Amino acid sequence: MQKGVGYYLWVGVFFLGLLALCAFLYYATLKIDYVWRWYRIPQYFFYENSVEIKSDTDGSVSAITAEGEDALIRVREAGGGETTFRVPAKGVAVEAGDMVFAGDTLSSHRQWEIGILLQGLWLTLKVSVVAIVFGVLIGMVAGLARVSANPAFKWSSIAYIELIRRSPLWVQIFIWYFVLGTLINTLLARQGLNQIPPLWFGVAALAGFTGAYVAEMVRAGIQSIHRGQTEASRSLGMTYVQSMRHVVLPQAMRRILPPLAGQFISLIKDSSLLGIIAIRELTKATREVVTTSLQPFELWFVCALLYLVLTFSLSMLLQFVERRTLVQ
Amino acid sequence: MIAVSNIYKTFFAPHKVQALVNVTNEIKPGEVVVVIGPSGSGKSTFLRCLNRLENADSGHILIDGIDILDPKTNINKVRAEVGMVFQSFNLFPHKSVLANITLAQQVVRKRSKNDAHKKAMELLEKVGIQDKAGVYPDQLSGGQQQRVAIARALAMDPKVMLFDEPTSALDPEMIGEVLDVMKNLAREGMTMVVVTHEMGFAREVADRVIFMDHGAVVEEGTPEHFFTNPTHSRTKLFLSQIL
Repeated sequence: MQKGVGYYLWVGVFFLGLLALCAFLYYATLKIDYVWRWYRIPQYFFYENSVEIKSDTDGSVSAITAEGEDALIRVREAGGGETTFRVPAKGVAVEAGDMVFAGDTLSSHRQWEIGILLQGLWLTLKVSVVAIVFGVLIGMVAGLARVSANPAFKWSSIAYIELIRRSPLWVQIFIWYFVLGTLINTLLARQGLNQIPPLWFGVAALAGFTGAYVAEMVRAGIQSIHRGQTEASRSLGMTYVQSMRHVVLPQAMRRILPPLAGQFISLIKDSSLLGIIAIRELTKATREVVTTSLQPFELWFVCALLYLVLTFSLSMLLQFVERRTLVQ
Repeated sequence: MIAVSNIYKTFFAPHKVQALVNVTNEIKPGEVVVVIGPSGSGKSTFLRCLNRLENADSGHILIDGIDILDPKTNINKVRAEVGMVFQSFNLFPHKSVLANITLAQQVVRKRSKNDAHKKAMELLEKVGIQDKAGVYPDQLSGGQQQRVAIARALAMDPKVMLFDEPTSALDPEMIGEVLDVMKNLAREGMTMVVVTHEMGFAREVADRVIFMDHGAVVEEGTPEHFFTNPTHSRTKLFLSQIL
């Protein structure tokens, strides 16, 4: 169909509306004397850190020798001992013969480091990927149990799914951290074992949460496969497990894949709740930066944008994978 | 081969239906038995009870002397000996024609890939579509799909074949090709139980015709007896309606 003048007129209306909204927002922030300082934002992605290496002993610098990119500074102590410091050659701030005291700077140089927002983004991605992997595993098992005729399997699965789906994720994270976490870590401590860091309870909460939804998808996928498929495979003499494995599940998986991709996207967004148990993912990182920088408007927009970039590129990637598997 | 005695089957969902009422019958090796009757008469249920796709409520079904209603019977072993062909083909859409035929051979019969492959190609030749081995079921016509389904069942070397209205979902011009395959099978001495509305097939191929109505066997006999001289009034009514 040819697109007439009217079409482009309304496209124009859309962009004008968008512009007007931004302008209005900007105007309103000026009214409350908010000062936009976008230039302060990049430092939370990458920043140049100055690294100083200090002496921890008194004495005199006896020799400085280069060793590749590094330099070795030898400090002879008054008592006769000698300490060697390895520092980057370009940052050496003392000369041979200088007197140094504990706390004096031997070397200082600047280096680029990854800012807190990118660290948070990376943790968000990492937590989501680990949680989706475990979530899919849990969901597969629970989904298969859900369609099983065995009441022990079936009812366990229903209990798990209903319990998870009928309570808020926020509460589940608290239960994992404050109840199960305390319980497990206290028991581990009594056995003299290492503690499990909060991150893993957060991941467990997300994986358990996702598992329940994946289980329902697996159940729906399996039940969407026509009964004739099971009848045909079983009447050939296949067992229930063989029929599931070779006939029903391969067909069901193709139907599960699209909603699974959607679940992964949701999981990334839900991981923002992990901040409440002190896991510094993207949202928590943003909150910390806001308290130090006092630039909440810019930072929350940036935070939302980072989630958007993450989820959008992932959904593109998953769509690509989906198309590839459907062709085969 | 198959001995059915006094089986009953009642369905409760969606509403209570007595699908089988005291059905007793015996099918001898090499016999071709055609089951006919109006829709809802229980003929499909009867057939599906023979490999326990439906569980009969009571009675006994012996396949080669094995009571399949005995909970201790390994039904999978029995089913491997009983081929079944469905009205809606039920081919596996995610597998090629060849893989449809080799799957159960490898998984159930534990044949090697090569043996299964060889067997599949022989059977495809037998049903006349050896050139379609590599394609997927949705690229075949209904008649071709049903012939693949027959080959898939035959690949297990069954002792008996059950056909559940194998031509009812086919366009008229494709019915012949499927019936021809079945006729050849009958000629080779395969024991067959066929639920069908194809009276021509019954007349030509059947050793015995069973007429069912309201879940019970009303009348049975040779095709000559059945089509020329039926005794029961319900049989006469049915035949007058379809012939």
